[in-house]
Amino acid sequence: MKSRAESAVETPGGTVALGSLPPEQLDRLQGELQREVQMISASLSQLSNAVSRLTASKENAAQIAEMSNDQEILVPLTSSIYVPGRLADTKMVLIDIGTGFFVEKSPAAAEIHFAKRATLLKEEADKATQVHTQKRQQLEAVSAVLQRKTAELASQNRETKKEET
Amino acid sequence: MAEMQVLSNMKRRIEKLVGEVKEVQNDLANSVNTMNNLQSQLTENKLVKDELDNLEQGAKIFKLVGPVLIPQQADEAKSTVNTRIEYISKEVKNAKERAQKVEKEQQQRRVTLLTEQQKFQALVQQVSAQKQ
Repeated sequence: MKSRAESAVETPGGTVALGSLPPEQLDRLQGELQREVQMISASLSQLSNAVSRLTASKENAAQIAEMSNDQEILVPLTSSIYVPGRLADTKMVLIDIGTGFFVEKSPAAAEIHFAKRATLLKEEADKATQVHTQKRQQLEAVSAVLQRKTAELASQNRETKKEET
Repeated sequence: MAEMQVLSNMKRRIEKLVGEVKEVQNDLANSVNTMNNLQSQLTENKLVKDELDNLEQGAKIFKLVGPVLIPQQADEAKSTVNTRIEYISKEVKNAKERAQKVEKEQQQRRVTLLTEQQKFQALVQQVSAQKQ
């Protein structure tokens, strides 16, 4: 990382040395970065949720593959009521491929499908994590410079007041 | 106190400008949101298309309509998804253009506000210098 004196931030207008910005703009930049960091955090947690759901589905598909027809199972009606049932068909499972479409697949194919999607999402999450770290570093740099400038302004104000009295 | 009159007029103008800038900012946040939503819909539809294109022959496809699963032909499902992708792509393009327009407007308003504020400050300094 660069030292604080030359810390710079990418803006739509190009790279800007933070030290050269007036406090108002720094404040705005800080707000923008804070919002971005928050947004990325939210998507990151969504992504990790989705990955764990997909992993759970993959494990379930693997379990079904090992079971035989007529195997007794307990079917959840709600999270607290279960009724006994029998597996009618363990050769096919129905999976949700998104936007309201469902496809029948063999449990093995379903496993592959879920694994593929999980990898895809993990890649996205990795990318998002990188951007997240980067933005957080920028935010820290901006906050530090802003703090320094505010402190400088405050001490300047005190001195001019002293001179006046 | 002619200066005072001018100053308070300017102050009111600046307050109005600040309000306008905030409004445009909200507008921008909204359009960015819409764009992101559309973009994620597009991604999801593309994933579904990919899945449908790589299906094994004879695989059964169902579409969820309300609470029921309705069997569908592969061709039918594919054309539905393709139409959706086309439609959403258009929407994304529109939303992008709109967001860009709003952003430009925001920049302009900000510049107007800034120059107005600078004028105001210059005048304030002038007036206080005259007093001394």
